[in-house]
Amino acid sequence: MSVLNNKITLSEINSNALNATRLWNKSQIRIKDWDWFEGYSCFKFRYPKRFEMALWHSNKLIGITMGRPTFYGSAMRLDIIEASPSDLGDRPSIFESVLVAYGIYARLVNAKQIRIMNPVNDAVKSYYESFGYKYIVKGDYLYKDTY
Amino acid sequence: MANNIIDLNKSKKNKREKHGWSLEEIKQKAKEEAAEFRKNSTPEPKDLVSGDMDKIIKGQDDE
Repeated sequence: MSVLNNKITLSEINSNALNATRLWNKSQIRIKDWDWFEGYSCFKFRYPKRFEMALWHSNKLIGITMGRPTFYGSAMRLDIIEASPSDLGDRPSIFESVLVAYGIYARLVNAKQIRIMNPVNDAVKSYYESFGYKYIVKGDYLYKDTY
Repeated sequence: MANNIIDLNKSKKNKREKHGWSLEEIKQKAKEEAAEFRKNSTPEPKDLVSGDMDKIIKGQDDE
């Protein structure tokens, strides 16, 4: 585990994190009805070079993400990210920490760009664009070079 | 006598494309990006979500 300056704690996606995602089912406004147990299990099995991270604040899961290098390794994909639903309590921002972490991993594997796959709506897409990411309609992702 | 002008950024980029990043370069870049991202005043959406879990579960690769 690592602790950042904003008191966000980072971990791998472990059983604690997966169990904590079940609490998100209590949300009335959760956008995606994702089963993280099944999704993570499939992702873990299929992609040994994956990147995964759970973000915690005050012992509460506030975000979870997983991604992987593309087939030829030229890009690093942020395949899935979900922040804790807002009706379950306030949380600090997570995306800055997530982007820094993906940047580190992307450079470790010498990926030339980071791709954020399938933004859920225009507000989220615009938010990613505020970090300099560019949207590609064909493929439904945003990208930014790592150089 | 003319001096040769070397574009250091281009030179570093070419070197990285061939050999990748050193750990020191990665740490430095992470610090720079963290500082840069902190300056972003755009509020984070409350419903920050991306991705397609169905594709992952069904094993559909979109590359």
